[in-house]
Amino acid sequence: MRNYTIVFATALAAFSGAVSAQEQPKHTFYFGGVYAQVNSKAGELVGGPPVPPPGAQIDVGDGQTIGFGYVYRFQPQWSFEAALGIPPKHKGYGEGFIAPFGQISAVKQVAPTVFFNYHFGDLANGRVQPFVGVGLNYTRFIDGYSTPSGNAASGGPTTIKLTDSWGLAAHVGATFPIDKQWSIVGAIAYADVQSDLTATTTTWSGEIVRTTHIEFRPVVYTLAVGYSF
Amino acid sequence: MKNIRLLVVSALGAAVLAACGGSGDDAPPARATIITGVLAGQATIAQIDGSTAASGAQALTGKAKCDVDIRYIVYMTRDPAGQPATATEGVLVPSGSDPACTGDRPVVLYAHGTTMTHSKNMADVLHDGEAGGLMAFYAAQGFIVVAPNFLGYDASSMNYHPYLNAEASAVDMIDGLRAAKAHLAAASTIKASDKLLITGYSQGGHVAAATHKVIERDYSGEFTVTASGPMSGPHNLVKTFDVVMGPGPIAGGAVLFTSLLVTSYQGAYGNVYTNLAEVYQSPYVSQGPRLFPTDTPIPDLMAQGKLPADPTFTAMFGPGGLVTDSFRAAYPTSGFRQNAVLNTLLGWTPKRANTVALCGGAQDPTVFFFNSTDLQADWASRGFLAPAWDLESRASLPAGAAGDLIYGGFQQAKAAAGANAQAQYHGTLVPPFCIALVRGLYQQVLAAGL
Repeated sequence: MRNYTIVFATALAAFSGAVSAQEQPKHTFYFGGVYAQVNSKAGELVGGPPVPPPGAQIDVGDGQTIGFGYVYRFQPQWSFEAALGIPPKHKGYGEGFIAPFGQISAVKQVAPTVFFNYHFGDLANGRVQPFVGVGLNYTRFIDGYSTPSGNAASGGPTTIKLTDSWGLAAHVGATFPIDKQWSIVGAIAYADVQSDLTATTTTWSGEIVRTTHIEFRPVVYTLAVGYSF
Repeated sequence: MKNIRLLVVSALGAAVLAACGGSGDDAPPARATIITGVLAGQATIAQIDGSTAASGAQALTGKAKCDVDIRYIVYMTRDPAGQPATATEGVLVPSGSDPACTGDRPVVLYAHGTTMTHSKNMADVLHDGEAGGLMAFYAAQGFIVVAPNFLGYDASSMNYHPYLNAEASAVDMIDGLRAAKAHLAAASTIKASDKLLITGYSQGGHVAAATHKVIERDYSGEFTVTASGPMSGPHNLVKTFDVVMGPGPIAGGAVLFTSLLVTSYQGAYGNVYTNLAEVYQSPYVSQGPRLFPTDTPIPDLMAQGKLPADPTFTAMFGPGGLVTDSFRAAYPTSGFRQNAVLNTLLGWTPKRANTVALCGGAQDPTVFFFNSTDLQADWASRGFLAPAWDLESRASLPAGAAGDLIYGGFQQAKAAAGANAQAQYHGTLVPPFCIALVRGLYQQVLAAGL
């Protein structure tokens, strides 16, 4: 349930910086590992029977995946970047009254992100090439489910749906050229990812619908290898 | 350059490996994890004595020695499929300055009787007569009472109740016991001792026997059953249903028990029916796969056509009955009967001599007394001797004044009930006398240090 798009964007951004501005190859593909640290903030779940204080909330766990993307260097200091990745899985944990249930849900996120990047000049004799970028993130949540523990917390078999998210994204990173084609890129990104969660539980006496709004607030770390030409 | 490329490949490999890890779900919370535990209320000695004096039960309960803290716990357990599920329980804890109420107290693990009421809560001592009685009989005399409400009742997450499912019920009871002991260790000045006394009435008698069996089979390193007193339980379940589905007599309440049991066994084993209409006659198919437990009053269910309009709940067969002729005819080879065999509590033997007793009444029209005597005989066949106290037989009861009091009191209560004696026999008349007898066993075992 969260920032995975952001993670991909970060990875992409990282690669966008992978090529030395001096050499200026126009195309770069990158591939690497992405870690999305989610700092979620969610209101109390609303709906269903009353829950004793401090109420029932959801905390979204971190995710990791493989990211890849493409960078087009249309100007020596400017590039366009498209980032994607294998949808990472994020676990949802109970908080407040339902904290003892542990992991109550999981969801994957498909989060394509585009960036416009600005590449600074070389540092350390060209061994470090920093960059920054801003862009747009779209996150679609897929394959969400309630775990057996989540079903117990909810009071029966439960389905989970999250609305799509559109939001701004930004990243900062640096490219470490290895040779003319190869480079290593590290980047940190942040994206505005928010979603409305609806959990529908089937109980013996009917359906219970609970909702909450989640701000995922992901910080995405990317370490990738790029190939430019 | 080779080294640099190696570095690139290594960095990529490390990143990808890190990205691929950790995709499995976390294990669910351990059994008996406490979701919440609270002090829900307190009852004073004066309040308890006032209640027992008003009901006339004080001759059996005795005067209270202790005030009682009423605690309510929601805990994690497992459903029949082994999946996590929550259940709730009441825990009645003695308090006060009397030596009987201080220090580590013995634990009575109590399984309640069949109830159709979904909101059943053994912490509700004000409104639940069974819980109030236990408070007077046990907690006010210095015993900690741990009384699970069972899966599928109260705030449990389960959508049905695993009725007369021996193994599932035992798991729930054991987790309730663990949760209660952990809660008291953390939140109460009165703690549980290592003395464990198991009992229960009716369905709870079956659950108590199952719990005793399972603890000594699977949890002997964690618990020792100090004493056990299953009361009026359908221990020989298959014989009970062989009688009901066959020649009769039909047990009082059979319509309700059958409905609960069909739901339970279909839920756990899935072999009772393919289509509900195979089991229930047409008007009563409307009760769906799960009617009980519910908080809808039974007269309303009858008015809605979900139950036969018969206050004795014995309208099982034929015109206006609950069950189809074909289901009854197929019963001898059915999955339903196989499940009853599976949950018949014969063929096991308690481990500790002189610490177990059974109790009931020979004229019980609801849970036939052969259930107790069959279990007694089954144990005896392997050399384990235990009494099966029959409130109708003075000779079967303990000798002396205590036995006289029980026997005389029961006969007096029956006489006072008059024409209602049969209707009240199982649910009202027998329980207090059997509870008093079993409590006497417990006191004797504890005093003897067995």
